[in-house]
Amino acid sequence: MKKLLIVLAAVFMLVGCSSDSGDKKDTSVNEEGFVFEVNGTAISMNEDTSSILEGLGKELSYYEAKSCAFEGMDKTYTYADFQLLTYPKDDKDYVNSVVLKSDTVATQEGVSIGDTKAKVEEKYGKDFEDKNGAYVYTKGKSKLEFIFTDDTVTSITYTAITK
Amino acid sequence: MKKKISIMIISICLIVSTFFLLQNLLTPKYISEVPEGSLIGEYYKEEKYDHNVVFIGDCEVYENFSPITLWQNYGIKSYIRGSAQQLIWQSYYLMEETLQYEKPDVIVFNVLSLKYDEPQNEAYNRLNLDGMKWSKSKWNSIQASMMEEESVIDYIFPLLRYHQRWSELTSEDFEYLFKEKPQLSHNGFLMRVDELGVDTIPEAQPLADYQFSDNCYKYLDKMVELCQDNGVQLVLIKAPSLYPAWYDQWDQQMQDYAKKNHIDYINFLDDIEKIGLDFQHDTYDAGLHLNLSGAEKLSNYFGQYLQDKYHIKDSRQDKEASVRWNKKVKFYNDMKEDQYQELKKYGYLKSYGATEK
Repeated sequence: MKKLLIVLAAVFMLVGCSSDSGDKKDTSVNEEGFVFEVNGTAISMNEDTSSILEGLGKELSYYEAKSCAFEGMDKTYTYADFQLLTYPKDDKDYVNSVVLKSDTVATQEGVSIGDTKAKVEEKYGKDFEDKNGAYVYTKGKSKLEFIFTDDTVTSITYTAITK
Repeated sequence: MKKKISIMIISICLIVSTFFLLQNLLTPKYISEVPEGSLIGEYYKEEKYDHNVVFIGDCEVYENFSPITLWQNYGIKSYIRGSAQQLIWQSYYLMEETLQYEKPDVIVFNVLSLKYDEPQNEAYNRLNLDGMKWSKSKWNSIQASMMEEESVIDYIFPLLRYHQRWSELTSEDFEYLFKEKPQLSHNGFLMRVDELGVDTIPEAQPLADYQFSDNCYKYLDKMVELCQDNGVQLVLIKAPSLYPAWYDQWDQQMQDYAKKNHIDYINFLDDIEKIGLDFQHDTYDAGLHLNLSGAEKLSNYFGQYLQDKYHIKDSRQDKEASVRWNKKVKFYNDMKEDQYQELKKYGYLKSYGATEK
């Protein structure tokens, strides 16, 4: 009987100690990733959006989409010069990406839409991933992507690394 | 000696039983919450595998097409093997598995998933893979789908994945510990009668690279070959969901691919008016998915196309099929009625995965 109890305990231990592959999405965060700052509000990837939204004020438009099969919504807040996209986890929303839409806003390092490829290299260096001509820089749990048309920046996107 | 052997055998039986009991208890039931997780498994409950048309793909198939409408209006027997964020390699292996059960006239594949080049999310993998019966196709699908941190042993013994669900257990986990789960879908279609019209759709983000990956094309090629080998017509579609964006560059690639491989590609986004879709009333989530009214319109439109182009047999005069499908129609109508009543009572579909507005 004693042996049986030991074996049963072992099964429970096996179950209890096995690798945790569930709910692994890391939202802990920023770890000095790229930060977009607008009107005194800093937006870091994977950051809880509650205080950010307060700082940004009223958006021009808002869209929410069911996060496919999960509880919660993917949300898109559109402001005059940028879009903020979020993802849900544990009843909270976190920053998924920020898309700059005009040259009136710039990255913290001072690059805007309309700047040259040379300026991007000057500010961010050459340690980037070339994605079909676009430059993708990685820092902490974030990526910063510059898309060019004829050596001119036409799109700037911050993206959270959630895996 | 005999006593020791008996004790050992009893012990082993007890351990194995405990293990599987815990596994059954802790594995999610996907009924009230995340019903999408039940879709893949429901296929095995079919009485007969004689579908004319099988849909394969992500939420853009299981939310947007109604097999009951295809039956009622055209006598087409169809099934949707859809699941949330189903990736193209998962679709391929599902197609391979489906062809072990039956040889439909047409397989319809929704191409949105070509945007994903690699596994995205462990939780979605589980929704796609856990419900499949064990087979070589499932094994290969797991191998193609696993994220870096995943292990195949977790798929063989789901308890290892879900052992931490103790605190999330609900009465459903106990109720369906041994009992068979209720039918949730209508031949793979997940019904929603509520409405949430489109107000605004976010501007599509520019992409650095619009080219679908070699990996995605590899699986699309395999689908074409598999269908050819089995004498099945493959039809590529893009469902008329307004969001997420379907870029013109993607559309062009699909047109070129279809032409090159002599198969059909239908982008229903181009046919919204002809279908009669009104995105103020025919969607329950502002343009991502159609509601029942939208799904019935789209199915009616597509049914005509299937009948005209592929001359799918109208089986409504087949007595055996009619008896079988009339049961499905009744279940469909009962659920429709139940959803309207619930909507009236609570203002939202409380027991059908909707959130309170």
